[in-house]
Amino acid sequence: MGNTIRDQDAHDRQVDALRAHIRELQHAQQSTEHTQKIRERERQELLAIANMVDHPIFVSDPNTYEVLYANEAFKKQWGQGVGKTCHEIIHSLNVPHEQCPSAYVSDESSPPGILEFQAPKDLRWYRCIHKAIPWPDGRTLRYQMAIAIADHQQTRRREASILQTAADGFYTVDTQGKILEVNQACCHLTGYTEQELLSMTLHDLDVMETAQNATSRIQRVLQTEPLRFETSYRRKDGTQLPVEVVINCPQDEKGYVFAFFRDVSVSKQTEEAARKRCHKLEKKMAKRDKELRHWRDTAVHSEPFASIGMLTAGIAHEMNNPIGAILLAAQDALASSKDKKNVTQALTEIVNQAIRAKNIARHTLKCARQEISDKCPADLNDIVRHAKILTSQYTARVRCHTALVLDKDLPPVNMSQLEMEQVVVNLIRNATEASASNIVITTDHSHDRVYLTVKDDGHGITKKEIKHLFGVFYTTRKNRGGTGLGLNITHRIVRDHGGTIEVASEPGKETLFTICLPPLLRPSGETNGQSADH
Amino acid sequence: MAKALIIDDEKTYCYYLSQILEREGYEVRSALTGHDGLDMTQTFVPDVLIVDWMLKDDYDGIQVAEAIRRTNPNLQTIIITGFSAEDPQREAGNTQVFRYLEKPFEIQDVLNAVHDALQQAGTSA
Repeated sequence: MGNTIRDQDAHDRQVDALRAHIRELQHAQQSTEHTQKIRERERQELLAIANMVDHPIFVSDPNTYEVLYANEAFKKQWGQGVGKTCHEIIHSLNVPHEQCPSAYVSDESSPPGILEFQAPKDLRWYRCIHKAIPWPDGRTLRYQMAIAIADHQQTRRREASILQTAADGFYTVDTQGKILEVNQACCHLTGYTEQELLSMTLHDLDVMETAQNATSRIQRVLQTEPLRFETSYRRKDGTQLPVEVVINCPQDEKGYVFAFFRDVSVSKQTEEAARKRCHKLEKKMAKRDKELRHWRDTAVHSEPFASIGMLTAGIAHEMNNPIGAILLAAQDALASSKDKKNVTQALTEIVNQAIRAKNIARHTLKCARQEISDKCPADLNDIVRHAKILTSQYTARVRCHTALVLDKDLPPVNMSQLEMEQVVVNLIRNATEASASNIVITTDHSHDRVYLTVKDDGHGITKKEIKHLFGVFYTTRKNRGGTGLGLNITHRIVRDHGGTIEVASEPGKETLFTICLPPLLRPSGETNGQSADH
Repeated sequence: MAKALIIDDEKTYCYYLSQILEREGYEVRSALTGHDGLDMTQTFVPDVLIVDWMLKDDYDGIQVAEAIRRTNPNLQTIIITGFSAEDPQREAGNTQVFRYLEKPFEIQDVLNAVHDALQQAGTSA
């Protein structure tokens, strides 16, 4: 009895366990059915969506390559298809296509893959996006969408061929500076092979940039705008290649930047040569400028006697007068030696004339030493007379007559006699060189001014010439020995004496230079008596 | 008695040239400017003119000679100059000048020149 009860209990427990197992099985079955239902619904939804897509979409078994589903666009493109292998349908092949991604299809969590292929049937290029997906029967299948990229591909191939033939180096780099693509010129210019370059980064190439700078430069291009700059690339042989680089990024893609670079070593050399030449010229100019300034300074002394003949003639004339007088007086004293009074007078004359000669010699030496005599009160009339004598030989030679109309009551002017003499000589010379036949030099004064005018009947000065007349090196007689210094120096001397110089000219008729100088103050009430100088 | 007119803006020359010629028996007048010299010729008609080429007034020696020769065509002119004689020679043009004397000259040079000039003119002291 006891055994029977135990047996009954055991049986009941087994039945309970079986029931529980059956419930579990039923539950599991229900769950699987539910999952399958969900999957089926999802599949149907997915395929419904796929049917609405314009690009061909199909699902195939990665093991058998059998196409299990094809959307409307696929059927339209490649016919019915379902039931055949993908390589039969798409590529007309008996064996799987070499690029077929089925081999890579593993699990559903893998990201989508992309490949591009050309379909032999229509010769169009497609970009193929493929991904592993679960199928309701539990299999992991391959989902694939083919997007026709024929135009894009052609453009790319055209671009590639253009880039390859370009004389400028071209490369693309990713955001970290890794080189992704190069053209032939890039290889040629850097000396590296394509393979070598593709294993390098931009900062391996760029001599000037640190890795950080190169990367930040790429970021700048990605964020803002194209960059153009100059740098140097390191060639494989260790030499440097100065380049001008333009970096830009594609409008829609921010994953990489591309760059063109140009060998600027030749233009650098040219630039360097030009800079050297320029520097040389500048140095030469500076030297010339210095020389000219020195010349201008020294010319202040020599310009009035621009021809050495004129200078020596002036000196000779000045010296000949006292020497001649001494000779006459001495000979006269000898001839009348019995007359003591005559002898004394002759000796006195000889002494006076010798002193005169001494002063002339001193004056000449002063000129030679280029000492500008200090300003002291002097009679402008004396200056004018002396200038006339100095230039007389010259004016006579060019048949020019100089008349003086001098103010007898001219107040003294504080001046450097030597310099003022140069002023008058310069103006006389200027007139004779304008082919004047007559020069009239006048002195005059008002209560606060002393005037010196030089009027000539030469060919005159045009308005345009007047503008530049006192400018340094301005001359209308360049081919006839004009230095363009005379009037500039004249102007400077007058200005240094606190005066002004003006010119008025009626070309073909007359030209009038008017110099205005401040007189030394003297008691007022004196008359202004002007008359011809005798 | 031959007459000589001396014009030079240097008093010393006027004085000594006058002395020398007067001692030789010439009748001499002298002036410091061309203007004054010309004035003198209204009352004094010289046979020979000794004139400095460069005078300090509006006239030069050649112009004075030219002016006197208009009323006295027989005038013999001796030009004295502190410059080279070539310059007044060039300037003279058609004006007849008997001789040019470059300063400094000696007394004998002056006497010879005046003597020769007067011989040329057929007049003597």
